[in-house]
Amino acid sequence: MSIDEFYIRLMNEEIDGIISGGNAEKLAAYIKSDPEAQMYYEELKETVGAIDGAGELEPPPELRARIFDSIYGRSREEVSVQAAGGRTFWRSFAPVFAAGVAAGFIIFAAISPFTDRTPEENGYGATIGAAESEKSSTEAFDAFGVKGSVLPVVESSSMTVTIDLASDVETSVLLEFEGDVSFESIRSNEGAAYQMEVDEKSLLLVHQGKAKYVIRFRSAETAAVVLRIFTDGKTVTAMRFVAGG
Amino acid sequence: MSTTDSSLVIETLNGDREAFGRLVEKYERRIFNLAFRICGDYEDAMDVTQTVFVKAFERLETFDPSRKFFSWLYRMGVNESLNQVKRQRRIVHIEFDLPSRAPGPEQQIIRKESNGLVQSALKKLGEDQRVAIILRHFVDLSYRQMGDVLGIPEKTVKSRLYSARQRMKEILTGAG
Repeated sequence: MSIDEFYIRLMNEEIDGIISGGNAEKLAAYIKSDPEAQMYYEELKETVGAIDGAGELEPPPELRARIFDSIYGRSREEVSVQAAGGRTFWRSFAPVFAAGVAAGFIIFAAISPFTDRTPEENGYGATIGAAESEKSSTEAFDAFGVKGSVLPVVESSSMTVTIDLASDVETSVLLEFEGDVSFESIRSNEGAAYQMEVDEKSLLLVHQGKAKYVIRFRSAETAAVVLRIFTDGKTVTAMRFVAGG
Repeated sequence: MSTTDSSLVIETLNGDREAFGRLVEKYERRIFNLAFRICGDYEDAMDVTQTVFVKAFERLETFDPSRKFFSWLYRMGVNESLNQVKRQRRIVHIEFDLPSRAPGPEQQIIRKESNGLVQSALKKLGEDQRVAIILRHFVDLSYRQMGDVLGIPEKTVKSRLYSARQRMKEILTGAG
């Protein structure tokens, strides 16, 4: 290529629209006098045109929810309930839920056999360790009008719990962390209405309507998560997932 | 830093979730496109975009307010994207039939072809040249802004960009 570097710079400046008037005249004269430079300039313009014509992609609509889920633990748009005529679930039902959950916890604490005993000692629920988790069996439940299933997947440094709630009953899901466990993310199907509170020791999900949730935790080898699903103060099911087996 | 970004950062640091949400809304598309063009993979671009905003949120207190927020964010986007490419090191099938602004059918065909050719050519560039093209043409940054993002002088930006265009021209015209 015998084109002067100075003119290649000017061609780029012309394309970017930042060339000075004097240099634009110099470039025009140079291109006119040199067919090779003219061809180079045309190809360069076509190249830039092709790049600019490649277009901009639209980010997928769920991406923003994913970002907010990761940051805040839930979607900003999470609480819309179509059945509530456009009103948000939490706004509409907050007082009821607050009272219900509080009452539920009081009753639960008073009657719960979990207080000083493990789920195994209670005689119901299941303990799922790392070895069993590779099989990832689904645990179904159906009690007090609450139907659904839980699918735990325990890996070496994480746990994923898929909770499928198949009834319209108000339901609370409490996950308590034992050892080094931290909440990572929650995903739900579209339109799911829930309110969630999470801290270092537990995650409480209050829900109404049919929905599926995928909740993911980071965990150390010896950590465990105790899951309890209850409604109106009554325990529907309970199980314990052990990361290290 | 523009007043808007500056105030949104401060409001976020004061606990206003909506403020950070507005920053996400403002920069999501550009970070996603930046990531897609560097990684060449839609899913990777989603992961990178998510990671960038999560890290930005977590590290917001370390952000130097004397700098431009978008430069800080884009630099994170470039670094995360390049890291993702290094992690993946795999043959990527690129699906170009992706949701974008809706042009007419003929424009869609042209755009698809153009997309494919350009993306293939981009993959043949070295990292520095690829990033230069992407920041200039897909993120629409000026030379100065590119210099801020990359931490290099404007003169170096020009040199990289012009070399990158020349290389793209060679590839696209079959001379490279």
